[in-house]
Amino acid sequence: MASAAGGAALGAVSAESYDQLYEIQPLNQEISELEKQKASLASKLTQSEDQTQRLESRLSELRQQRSELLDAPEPVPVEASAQVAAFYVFGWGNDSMNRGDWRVGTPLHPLLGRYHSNDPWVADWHIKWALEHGIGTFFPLTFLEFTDSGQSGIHGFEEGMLHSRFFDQVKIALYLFWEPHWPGNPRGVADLETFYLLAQKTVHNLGNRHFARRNILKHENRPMLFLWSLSGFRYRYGDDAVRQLIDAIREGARSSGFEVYIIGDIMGTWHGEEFYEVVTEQVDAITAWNILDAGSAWPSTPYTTELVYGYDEYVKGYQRETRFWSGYAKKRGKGFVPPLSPGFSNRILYDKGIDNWLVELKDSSPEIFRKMCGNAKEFLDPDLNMVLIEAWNEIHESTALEPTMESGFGYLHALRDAFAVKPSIGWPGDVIPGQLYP
Amino acid sequence: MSELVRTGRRSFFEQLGAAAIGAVPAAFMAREFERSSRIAGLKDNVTMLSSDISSLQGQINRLDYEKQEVSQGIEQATSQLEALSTAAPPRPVDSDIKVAAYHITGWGTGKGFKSMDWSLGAPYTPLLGRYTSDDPRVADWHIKWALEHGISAFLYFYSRPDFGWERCLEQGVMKSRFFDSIDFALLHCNDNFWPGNPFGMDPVQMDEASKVTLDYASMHLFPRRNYLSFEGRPIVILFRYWDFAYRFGIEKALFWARNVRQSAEDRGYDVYLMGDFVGWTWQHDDSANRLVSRELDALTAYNLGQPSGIPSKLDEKGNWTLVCPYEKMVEAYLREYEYWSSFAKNMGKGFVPTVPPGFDNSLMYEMGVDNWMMRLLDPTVQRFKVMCESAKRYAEENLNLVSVEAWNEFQEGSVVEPSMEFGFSFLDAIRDTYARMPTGGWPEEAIPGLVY
Repeated sequence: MASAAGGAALGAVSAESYDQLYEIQPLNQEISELEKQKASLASKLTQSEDQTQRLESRLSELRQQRSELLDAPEPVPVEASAQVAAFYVFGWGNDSMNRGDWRVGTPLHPLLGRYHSNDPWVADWHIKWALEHGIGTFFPLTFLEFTDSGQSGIHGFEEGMLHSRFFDQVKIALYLFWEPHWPGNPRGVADLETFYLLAQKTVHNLGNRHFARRNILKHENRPMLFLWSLSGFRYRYGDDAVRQLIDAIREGARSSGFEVYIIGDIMGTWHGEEFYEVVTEQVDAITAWNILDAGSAWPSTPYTTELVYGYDEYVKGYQRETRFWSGYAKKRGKGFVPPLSPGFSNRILYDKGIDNWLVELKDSSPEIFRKMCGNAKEFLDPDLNMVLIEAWNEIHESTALEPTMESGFGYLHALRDAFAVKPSIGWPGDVIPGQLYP
Repeated sequence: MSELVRTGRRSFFEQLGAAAIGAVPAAFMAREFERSSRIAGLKDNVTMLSSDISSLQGQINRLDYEKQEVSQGIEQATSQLEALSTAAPPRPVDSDIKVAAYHITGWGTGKGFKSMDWSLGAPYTPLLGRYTSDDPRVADWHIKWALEHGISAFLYFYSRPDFGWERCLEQGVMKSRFFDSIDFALLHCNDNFWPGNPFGMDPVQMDEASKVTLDYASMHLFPRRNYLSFEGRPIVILFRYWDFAYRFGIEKALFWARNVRQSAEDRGYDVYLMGDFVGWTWQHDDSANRLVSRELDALTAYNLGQPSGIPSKLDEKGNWTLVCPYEKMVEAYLREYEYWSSFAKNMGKGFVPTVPPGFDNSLMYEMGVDNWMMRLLDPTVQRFKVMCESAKRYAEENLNLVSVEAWNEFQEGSVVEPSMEFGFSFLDAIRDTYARMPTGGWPEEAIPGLVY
């Protein structure tokens, strides 16, 4: 029609025709369709937003459920009549096929499963359980620095426990472990001079990083530091080496701005006082990591590396040793920390060739450990008023306070009953992650 | 113009021809401009709408993606949550002797009653928490743990089908994913002397309870493949049988047994009747025992009341109380088994020794729930293991059965189920005594909530 139109025909063209001709109507149609489409999309968007919101809230509900199921509730600490401290081992969950690698096999199995020490979630539960059973302090194991990378073997502490929600509620004292005379030590130290330097540097760095923390355990305003196997070190390297080592350690702490209170792993079944004179002089207090031959002497057969006997004898032996050493410390004006030990067996490590010695204490039980705790009370140093337990989680060596499949909270209850003060409303109920009925 | 070209249409002016333009009147021109600008407006509108639509579509697409991600998160979180509380299928271990454990199914189901109401307190707490027995998930874990530690049967308290514990058995235990993997039998208790029992002491009610129970069991429980039987006969244990005879007379006890047997027989079952018979040292009277045990096929004990040789005392409230070391009780149990296993053998009856991991109802006594108290001191796993080991020699060779009292008598301090206080130690003791270690080692112990 339009192609036939001439100028004369203009007057006859209706408004509607123009609209059609100028595509106004199609445009209007297009707009109307677009508006419908827009409205439909807008409503779809609203719906979609609602759905997303519902899904997000469902997800957050599930996360909340997971958190309620798995995350440790706030601890309900109990007071204790003494400062109860436990050694704490990191490194679980590594893949070394050595200590700390679950694949090696363990005599005990934590209720938390085969956990990773660097996980703050694990530390949450550990701190909660410790505080609720009267343990106020952990002594995290720290290695000497063997490289220049600033690594001190304390990653588990710094990546895990330090980030626990409850970290500030537990006291911390560092525990320095070295290996120069450990058979098969893969990171051996060439000479003693290097060893002193490493010790100094390690303590300096640890001091810089941790001694100023509010929850560092102090005595006479000095951060406590436990030194492992000091009598072993004395046996190998002599009195002078002990002096130099401890001087280096004190210097390391001083250069980070702190005087340390050194608790030395000194107690042993051999009581030659002359042997211990210098090493005792160098420390502020005496204790033991453990005394594995406390209840039975190593067989006199040459090259025998196996010692197997009953845990009940071990407990009696501890009582004898504690009596002797508390008197010894008192005579020399040194502090004394009675050691406690819930058992020991490195049978699996020995059978697998990882350890070349075996100590197996038979039939350890929470009931006998309860006696050990009771025995120790008599020997508490009135000034320090402290016991030290080996260990919270030496799972490979079958010495663990932490709740396990094998004993539940049995060892923690024995300890709590001995040292903690029962609140008027009763002990806090034990809880574990994932309880079907919390 | 370009828009028109783009749309492939010709303009009005083009159609008129350039020569005609001069002739177009001003009004027309004005109208034409108005239309042009209207078209431009409309086109702008179209552009805006298209852009809005495209933006909306973009937002919807983004939300779709987000929804997909959140949905995946939900799916993952749901399955994680489920996995955290779901028991993996059991890995049963074989055992040289069949081990059956007495099992309470009333937890969390009633107020003020023992073995039902957690709020009364309990000396031990389950690793599962204070559960309710009608939850099949609880039964999943129980069955898994039992089978993986050499316990291959549960013996359930059963009074009558419409009572509370029995409902839990059906609604909880029997709905477990693993129920068919474990054997079960009934410990029939007609509740006659339980404080607070709803049936009173009416002997007619007691007889009725037994009849109804056996009718029901014959129709619904005995036919099940996993109902525990001996020589094809479903096993039924009569709770406190000797006590029943003592309280109501020997004839009444014999009637009870005959009533149970007859009720089953009427439905086509020849039951193997085991009496909870062994209880007190003063019962060593062969002639009385011969008479009372006449209707029974085998003798056993739920637990022993006072075999330690340490006498009970009347306390200031006039109630009987007994406190003695668990160790003494273990010795006493074994002395009793010596007598009773030999008595059963002479009578040509089966004998099933029971191993209790402890006993302490002092809390229930203090709460006024029980009017008697027995407390065994220091019930250690080591001593329990001695008991398990020693009980082996009293298990009658044909039945070849040992019972454990109990899986979960939490308020009587008699528990092998994993607890906060003892972990799996009592179950490990049972396993180490009776089960055979598979070549790959014992199944690894698992609990709900294991993230690692």
